[in-house]
Amino acid sequence: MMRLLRWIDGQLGLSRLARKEVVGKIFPDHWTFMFGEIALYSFVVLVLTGIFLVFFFKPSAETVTYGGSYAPLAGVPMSQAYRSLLDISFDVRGGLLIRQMHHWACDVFLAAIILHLCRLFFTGAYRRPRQINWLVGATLLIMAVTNGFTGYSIGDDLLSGTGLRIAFASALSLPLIGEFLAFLIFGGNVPNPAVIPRLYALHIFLVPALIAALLATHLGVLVRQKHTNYPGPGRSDTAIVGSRFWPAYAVKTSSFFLFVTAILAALGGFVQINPVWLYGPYFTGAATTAAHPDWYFSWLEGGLRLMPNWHATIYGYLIPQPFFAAVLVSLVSFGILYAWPFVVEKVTLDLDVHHVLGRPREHPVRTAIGTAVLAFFFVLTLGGIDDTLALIFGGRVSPLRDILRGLALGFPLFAAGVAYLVAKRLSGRPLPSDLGSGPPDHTGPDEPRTRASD
Amino acid sequence: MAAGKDSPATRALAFGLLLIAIAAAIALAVAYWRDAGTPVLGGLLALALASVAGGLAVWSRAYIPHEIVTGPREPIASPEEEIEALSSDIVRGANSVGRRRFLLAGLLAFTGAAGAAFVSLLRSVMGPSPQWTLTHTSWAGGVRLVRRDGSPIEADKMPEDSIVTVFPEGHIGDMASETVLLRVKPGILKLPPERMAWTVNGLVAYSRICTHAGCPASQYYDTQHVLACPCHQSTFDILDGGRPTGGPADRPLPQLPLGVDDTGHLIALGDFPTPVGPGFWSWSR
Repeated sequence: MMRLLRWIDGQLGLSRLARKEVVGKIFPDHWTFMFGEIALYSFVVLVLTGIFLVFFFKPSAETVTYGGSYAPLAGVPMSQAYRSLLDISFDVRGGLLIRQMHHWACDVFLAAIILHLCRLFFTGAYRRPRQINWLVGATLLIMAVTNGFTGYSIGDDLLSGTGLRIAFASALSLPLIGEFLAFLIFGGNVPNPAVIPRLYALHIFLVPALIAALLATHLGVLVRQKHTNYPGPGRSDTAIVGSRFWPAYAVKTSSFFLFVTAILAALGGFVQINPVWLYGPYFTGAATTAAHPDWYFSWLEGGLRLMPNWHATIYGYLIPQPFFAAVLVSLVSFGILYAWPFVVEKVTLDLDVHHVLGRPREHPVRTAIGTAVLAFFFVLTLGGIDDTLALIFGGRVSPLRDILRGLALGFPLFAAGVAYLVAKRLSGRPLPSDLGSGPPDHTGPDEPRTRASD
Repeated sequence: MAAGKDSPATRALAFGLLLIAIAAAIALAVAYWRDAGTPVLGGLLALALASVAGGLAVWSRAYIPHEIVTGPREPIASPEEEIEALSSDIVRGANSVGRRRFLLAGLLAFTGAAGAAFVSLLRSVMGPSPQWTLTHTSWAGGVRLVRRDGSPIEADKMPEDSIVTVFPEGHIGDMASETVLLRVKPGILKLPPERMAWTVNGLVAYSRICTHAGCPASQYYDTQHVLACPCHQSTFDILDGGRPTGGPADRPLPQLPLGVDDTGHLIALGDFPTPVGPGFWSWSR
C-alpha cells in the first residue's frame, strides 16, 4: 500500500488533497440526495451498454432485404440501420437484453435528472455559490434530452422516422435561419441518407463526450464547494455534517450503484421497451396513430398538439405554428431555467452564500412557482398523448384537446394556490426527526469531531 | 464503534446474499451458453447484482462504523486583494499586447477571414440548397402519376370514392412528391373555376404531407371527405381545396394540377402551386 501511494505521490504530490477531499470527504445523508446518484449510475450503464451496441449497430440508410430470424419481416426491404437493430434484438445473443437496458437506462437517466432538478429547486440549492453548478446541470439536462432523441431516431423504424419529420419541421420553423439550420442539422430534406450517420456521430461521440465533460465539471464543482446540508443541529454555513467517503459512504454508494444496475437489468429483461420489430421499417408515407415519443419528449409533442393553429407573417415572411408550439416553448422553458437563480437574486437581493437548504414549507412562494411549472409541464405531457387518452376514455380527441388547453392555463394556477396554502399551513411545524442522519452531539465548525451513530 | 448488530444471523444473511450472487452469476454464464431468453438473462443479471448490493448493504450496516462527522466549511471566495491582483495582472498583460495596435488589427482581420472560411465549409454540411429543395418536388408537366408499385393510372378506371397514394413516374418513394389521389362525385367539389381545371372528372390530387409538421396525412374519412394526420390530428377538407378544418395545421394541402395524356393515363400539368409540407420563413417567396 505504502509503496503504491508513495509512487503516486512522487508523481503528483496529491496525498494531502486526496486525504482531505476524497477519503475524508463528508457526504450528508438524505434520500433526496440519491436522485443525482441514480442519474450518474444510469449514465454509467448507458455507456457500458452503449459500447456493446456499437459493435453491432450499422448506421446506414442503404436498403437491404431482411433475411434474419424474425419471420414476419422476412424478405422486407429495409435500411441497414433497422436491419442491424433487428439483428441485435433477435440474432445477437444477449443483444435484446442490452438494447432494452440501454433504453430503460435512458428513461431512468432523464427521470433522475428531473427529480434531482426538482430537489435543487424546492430546497433553494441554486443560491450562491451553486449558480455555476445549476448552469452546468441545466446544460446536462439539454444534452441528455438531445441524446435520447438522437438515440431513438437512428433506428429507422416507423416511429423514429415520424419523429425525425417533426423535428425537421420544428427546426425549419425558426424565423430567418430555420431553413439553413434544418439543412445544417439534417443534411437536406428529411428523410435522406445523411441523417442516420449524422445523428449516430452525435449520439455515440459528440453528445456523450459533452455529457461526460459536464458531469466531471458538475462533480468537480461539488467537491470544491462541498455538499449542501438540510437544516438540523450542527449544520450551518460554516460546518458540514455527514459521513466520510471512506469507508462508510463508499461501500454504501457501491451497493447503491449495483442496485440501480440490477433494477435496469430487471427492466431490460422483463419489461419490453421500444419493440421496433412491431413498428416495422420506416418508409415514405407511413405513420401510425397513437404513436408517442419517449416520455421526456411528450411535453414538446403536447405543445405541438395543444397550441392553436396560429402563425405570424412579417413582411410576407412566415413564422409557422411549430415555432410557437415547440421552439418558443422550449427556448422560454430553458431560458427561464438558466435565468432562475439570477432572477431570484435580483428579486430577493440575497447575495449571501448558502450551504443549508431551505425546506419547501418555509418558502411558500418558491414552492408555489415550482408546483405551477410542474403542473404546466404535466398538462403538456398529457397533451402529447391526447389521442391515446381519448381512446382510453372513449371520447373524441378535439373536445379533450380543448379541455387540456384550458387545463394548461388553469391547472398551474390552481396547483400553485394549493401548494402555497399547504406550505403556509405546514410552515413552522417541527421538522420530522428523520431528516438527515440524526443529530450530532457537536456543534461548532472548528475541529472535526466524530461520534458513532445509533 | 461499529454501528453493527454483529450477530450470527447478520453474518449468515450477508454471506448468504453473496452466495446467491455467485450462484446467479454462474447461472447467467450457463444461461448465456445455452441461449436462454432475454427474461432469464435479465433476471439472473438483476439477481446477481441485487444480491451483491444487498450483501454490501448488510455488511456496511453491521461492520462499518457509521460515524457522523462535522467538518469545517472554509469560505470559498478568495480575499478581495487576490481578485484585484489577478485583475491587474490581466489588464497589465493586455495593455502590453494592445500597444501593438496594427498587430491586433491584423489578428482581428484574420479571425474574420477564418470565420468566413469556416462558414463556407458549413455550406457542404448543409447538403442541397434549402430554398430550391423546399420549393420544388419531382412533379412537372407531363409526368405520369404512378402507384407505389409503379403502375400508371387510367383516368376512367378509378372507381368513385376511392383513394390511392401516388408518386411521379421514376420517383417512387420520393418523400416531397408524395401525393394522394381521390375520386369523388364531380358535383360535390367546391373549388374555384381555375382549380376545377386541375381536376379530371372528379379526380383530385393533393400533397400527402401535412402542412403542420410534415407527417403524412394518411387517414381518409370518406363520409366527411376529410384527410387527417395521425401525428397531431390536423384535418383537411378535400372537397374545398385541402382547406385545414381542425387541429394545428393552418395552410391547405397543395393541390396537384391533373391532366390526361394521349393514352388515357393521368399526368401532372406542373408542380404544386405552393411549397409542400411544414411552413418556413421564406415560404411565400
